[in-house]
Amino acid sequence: MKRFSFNSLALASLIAAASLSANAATLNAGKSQLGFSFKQMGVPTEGRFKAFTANVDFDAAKPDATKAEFTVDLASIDVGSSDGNNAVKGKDFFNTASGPKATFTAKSVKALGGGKFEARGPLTMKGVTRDIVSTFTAKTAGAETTLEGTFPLQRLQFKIGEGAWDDTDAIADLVTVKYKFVLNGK
Amino acid sequence: MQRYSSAQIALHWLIALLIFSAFGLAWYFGSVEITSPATFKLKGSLIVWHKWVGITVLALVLIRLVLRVVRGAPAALPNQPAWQVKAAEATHYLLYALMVALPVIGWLLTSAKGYPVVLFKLVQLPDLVGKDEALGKTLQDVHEFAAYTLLALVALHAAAAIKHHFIDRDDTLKRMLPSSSSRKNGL
Repeated sequence: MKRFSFNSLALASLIAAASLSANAATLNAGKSQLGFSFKQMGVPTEGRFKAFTANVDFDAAKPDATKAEFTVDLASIDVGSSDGNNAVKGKDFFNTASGPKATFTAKSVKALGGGKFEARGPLTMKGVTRDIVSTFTAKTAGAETTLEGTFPLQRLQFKIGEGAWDDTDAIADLVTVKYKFVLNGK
Repeated sequence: MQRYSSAQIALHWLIALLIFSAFGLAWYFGSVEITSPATFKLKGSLIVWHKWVGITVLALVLIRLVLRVVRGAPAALPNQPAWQVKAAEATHYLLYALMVALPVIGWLLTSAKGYPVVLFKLVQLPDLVGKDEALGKTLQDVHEFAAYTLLALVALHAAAAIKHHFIDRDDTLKRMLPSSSSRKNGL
């Protein structure tokens, strides 16, 4: 029953994390999504990350006070085929063996009006840190808040695709990240 | 001798050429293993071209089917054994069916694999099914099986045409050849 003990360990640490930061909501991993789209050979392709965690303290009424940290398990990437998944974990792409995580910290969040917000902060991936800007919407229903948004990033800035993989005719530089984070509790 | 219309003749040979190109592209990309950016790009281009050729065949075959209904086909030459006339007819219908089915299955499989068709890098065709890796694999098997069935039928079809032309020395094949070359043959 190894699996069981791992699960209860994960649950225990989740509870611990939640109680440590009393203000932060917990991420509903089952309902949340972190995907991306890009073009290969001119053909739009979708991918996603299956494992990510978030520590978010967001109040639509006080966006300036937002505290949010996201961690993505890069090895949980799914680009649609097992060959592709193995390739993108390799050295030339995410190099998950030496840098398994990507992190984003929201440094500032401001309201744009109409339920829209703009988050700004550093994204660190493969040893490279760059500020990104993302617009998102926030919807609250009962104890559940859903943050949904996108942001563009240039993969070559993060050395995703080194050497001759920098050919943007084969794989476009622009990657659009799409996310939906469902938060429970406040 | 009653001949197919010039539009039917042009479409027949153009589609034949495209079908052989589709096979060539498929065999080529099937042999390319992605080991480098160059092989990735090569394989990607070959697959993209294969899809373009397939969708073009689909469009041309649909035009051909309309012409077939509107203009019909020349009757079989007289004094042919009935079973051969029936076999030829059955082969023609199966060829039409597969020429429609193969591109459609290919379109389904590429939709299921999550790689839409962007025709000539210009128009993105709608996905016929949602992304489903297992379904994509199954459809790929069906696509390959149907392709080899088509190839076998094409071989039978071509063998029959060659037999009529060179052994029976009748006009069966000439009905599907451009009239200028048949005039030369007619000398």
